[in-house]
Amino acid sequence: MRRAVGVLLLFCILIAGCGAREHTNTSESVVDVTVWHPWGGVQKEKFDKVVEAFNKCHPRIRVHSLFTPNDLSNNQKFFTAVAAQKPPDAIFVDGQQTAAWAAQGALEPLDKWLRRDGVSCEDYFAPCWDQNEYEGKAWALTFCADPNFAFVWNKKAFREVGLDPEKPPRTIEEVDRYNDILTKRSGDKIIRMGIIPWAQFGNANSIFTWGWAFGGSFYDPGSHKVTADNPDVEKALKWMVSYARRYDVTKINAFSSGFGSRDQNPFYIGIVAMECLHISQIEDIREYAPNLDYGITYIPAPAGGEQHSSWVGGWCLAVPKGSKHPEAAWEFIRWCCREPKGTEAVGKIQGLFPGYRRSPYFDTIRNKPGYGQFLQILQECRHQRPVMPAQAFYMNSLDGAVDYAIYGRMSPREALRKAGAETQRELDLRLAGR
Amino acid sequence: MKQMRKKSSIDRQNTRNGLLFCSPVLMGLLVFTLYPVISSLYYSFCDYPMLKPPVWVGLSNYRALFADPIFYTSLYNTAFYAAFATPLGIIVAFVLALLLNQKVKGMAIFRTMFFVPSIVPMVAGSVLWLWLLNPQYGLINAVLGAMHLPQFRWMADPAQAKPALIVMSTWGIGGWMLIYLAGLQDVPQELYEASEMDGASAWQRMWHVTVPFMSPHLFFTLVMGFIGAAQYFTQAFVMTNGQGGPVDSTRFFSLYLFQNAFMYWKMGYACAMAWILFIVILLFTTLLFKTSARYVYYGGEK
Amino acid sequence: MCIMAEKSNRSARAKKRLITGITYAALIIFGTAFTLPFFWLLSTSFKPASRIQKWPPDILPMQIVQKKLKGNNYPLYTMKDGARVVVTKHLPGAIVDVKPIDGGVSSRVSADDLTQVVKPGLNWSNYTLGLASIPFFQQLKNTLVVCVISVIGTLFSCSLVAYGLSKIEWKGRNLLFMILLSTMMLPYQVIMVPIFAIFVKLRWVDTFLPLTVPTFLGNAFFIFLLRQFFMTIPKDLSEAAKLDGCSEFDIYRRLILPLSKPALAMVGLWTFMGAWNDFLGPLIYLMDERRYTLSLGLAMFLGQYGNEYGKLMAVSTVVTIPIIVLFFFTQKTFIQGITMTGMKQ
Repeated sequence: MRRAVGVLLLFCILIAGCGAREHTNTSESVVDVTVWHPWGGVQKEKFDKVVEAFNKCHPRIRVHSLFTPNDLSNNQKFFTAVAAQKPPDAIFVDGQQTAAWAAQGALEPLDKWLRRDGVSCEDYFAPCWDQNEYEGKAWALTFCADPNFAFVWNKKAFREVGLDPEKPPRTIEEVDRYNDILTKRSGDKIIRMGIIPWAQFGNANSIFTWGWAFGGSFYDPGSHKVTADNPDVEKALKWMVSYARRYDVTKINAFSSGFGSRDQNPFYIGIVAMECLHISQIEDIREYAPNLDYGITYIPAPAGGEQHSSWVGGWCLAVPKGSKHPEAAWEFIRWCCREPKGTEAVGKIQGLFPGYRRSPYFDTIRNKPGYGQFLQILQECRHQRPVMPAQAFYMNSLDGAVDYAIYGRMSPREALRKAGAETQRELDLRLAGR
Repeated sequence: MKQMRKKSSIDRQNTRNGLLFCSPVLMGLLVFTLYPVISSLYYSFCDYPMLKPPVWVGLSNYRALFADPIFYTSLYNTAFYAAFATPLGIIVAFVLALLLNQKVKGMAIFRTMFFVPSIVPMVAGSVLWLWLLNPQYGLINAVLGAMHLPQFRWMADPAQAKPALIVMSTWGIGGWMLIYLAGLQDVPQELYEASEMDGASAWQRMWHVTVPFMSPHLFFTLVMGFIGAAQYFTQAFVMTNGQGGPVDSTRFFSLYLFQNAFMYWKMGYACAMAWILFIVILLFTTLLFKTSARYVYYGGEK
Repeated sequence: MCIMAEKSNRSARAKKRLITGITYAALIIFGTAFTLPFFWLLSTSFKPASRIQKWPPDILPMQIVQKKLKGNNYPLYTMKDGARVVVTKHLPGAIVDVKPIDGGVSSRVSADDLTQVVKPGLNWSNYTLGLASIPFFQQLKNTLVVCVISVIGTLFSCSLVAYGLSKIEWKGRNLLFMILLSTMMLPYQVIMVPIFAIFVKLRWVDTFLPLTVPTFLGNAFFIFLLRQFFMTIPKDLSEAAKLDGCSEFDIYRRLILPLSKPALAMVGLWTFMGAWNDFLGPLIYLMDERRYTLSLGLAMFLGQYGNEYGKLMAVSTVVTIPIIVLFFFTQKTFIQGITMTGMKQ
């Protein structure tokens, strides 16, 4: 009996000792934090370097990264993990998914940490913060703020057809006119296109981009109303459909099904003369097409549309519900998304923009070609994709709507109205708790 | 009396042994067939988003399905595919089997050429065909162009995507060809000789001797082909990145079911779809079997 | 009489030759059609990236000819006048400085005036890069694990059950067999969701367990095949063994199994191929990239690097080759198996 008590006492002392050690910061116990991220290929190596940098200056925390392909409508892995109560400690969430994941109870709100560590909405570019706030709580912090998009044009192609290579199109009318001059055919096939309006990173992203450029809006957060049939959005889709009709959409899509990637990217090899550019492509071009003669500017706008239009995308970091080490996960999140050193590392290593507007990284790239322009775009950015639980559904609906419109199966108005109605239905169900 | 007791004890022993040997499948039937079938019927009447437990909603899923335009699109797509791919496959496989049955030299080589494509892993085959069918640079358009035939836009054109998949499916009929080949070798020579003496031409011989004799094999592949076509999924998923495009032209029933279950997390809805599929397959198969007496002959009748 | 018979013989022979001729022609045409895709697969896999998106396409893989100058490799071009040059400097406006390789003066020309020099050859970079980025060996290992365990599980469970359904006389055996057959009519979609829910609750998701454990519980199709085969083994053999005092399990293990080697080989082969080929199972249950099987890995590769056709073709080739090799070594078993399924029930 006495022996048992003795062992029990020893046991308690040991446990208390461990606990005490953690609190007094002289611990030998290292907290292992797993974070699931969406980067494959080259970006994966870069992110691993960011993780290394964090681990180096945080000896008590070791972050392990795992690549999970996060197709926006395919969050299988994360959701089944939460359902099975085996989630990672931190998770990358695509900015527009935050509200949905929060509504489904998959995330932990960050407010208590934000208050404790003095992180507020003023620290971030407005649309970045807006993406992560839902129902009055903050659910994620912006890891990278992608200013979508810059507009680029191939100077060599311009020169070839007699356009002034230093004068990019500034209005939609100019885009149309230049496109007609730049598009080249060989027999029945298209071999160069001026611009493919719906090929700016998918149908849905394209309609978002041009919809805002035309002055439209997609969602009213106050009334929870989906406004896909907004007249300016309809104008944008009508504009896309005009290309589909003039050049035969099946021919254009046959053309684009032959596109390559990396060094065979259609813009880099000159078979697409104008397009919207993502910030990560600046590095891409430097690596795969260093001799590409191109210019970079703002997205053109129609008369009465929005000048210098853009929206913010990018990835955010959140803490899943059921995370085993939320405190340590928060340390990692705060370092990457809010601290000067961390955000600068993200910028320098991955070539992405932090969401933290006062990050020292911005001073280093203010005058860098390409990045400087993207910074200007980010500073004027006013939009982010709708923050509501049916956003993934909305993306799918818009995807389909653009498809049906450009293939002539529905008029732009019908297509957008249908997408809006079905998304509204879905949204109402989700808001009602189903 | 003693004999009867001995017999019943042997019976009991046999029953025990039989059950023992069959225990794996008994467990399997219980856990992986009976329970899931009942559950999925139950789920089909529920709202079941993975993270929350199922909530009974009665016929709401079925009502929503019948009001869902994509449900009808996916049914049409699958029906279209089944209606064309299965007969086409049977015809091509039968023709190849007839050709191989002619006992020409080098038959083994040709037989291999026709069979190997059917064992190519489905995903690899889909990737290959996606590239073959590429409208800008693919081999098929290159060959058509070289022969001065019109080139198609294949998977980029909603009107051509399903035909492209149907053409692709005929590449894999090697298995059916072998079934027919084996059956052809069983056709009694006397029947051929007799009809030849009656003055039947080769064509007539085929229709009046070969086909009736092969009807059980043809029927078997018809039923299996139809059931397989109703569940067509992998190739469409891989080749359209899970979307079923363009404009839902390749959004087959199984693909839409998968999307509902694992992309939209509407598991109850997906289960309702599954039961409708089951009923359709049952009805159609029963129909096929019931009418089979009219065109299937068992045991070499003339 | 004899002359007429001769004439009809001759025409019969001519007819036969015609049929043979047509048969050969048809076989060659079909044979080419069926084999061409493989040729295209291989040809593309050996092409360098810059020559894949090309119209009209190269039939044979053409490699860029390079010239070594001062330790670096430069692609070779020909000018309009046939002179062979390398590019020494790129200038804006697509103007380039070129230098002839056989000595001579540099000149400045428009890049459009140059044609690249190519010759047929094999480029292995699609294989080395593709297999590295997929990552091939890890997925091969995963696939093999699933395949081997599936084969073991299937052979074990199906042979046991087939024995119980064919070699033991007991009441209810036919009922069980009928029930089993009827499950073959059940489309997997009906049971897909509840089974997934079971595995989520068991926390077996994202492991190989959902793909392997069910194989130990039997497979209706293979049970059916093995049962048919076992029934062709004469009863007297097992009766004799019983008289010698063997238990059912002994008879199963020492008598029936060895006699059934060809059927078992076929079942094992088919299970292996089915598991190698399986896409839906891994798609639903495997989420960690490190656990992907080859089928799933290739599909994901297509989704991400969708337009890197060279790598896609190289990886597809490597995924397909083992099955084709397996086929060539086991042709007879394979073909026997297929013909057995077509037999009248």
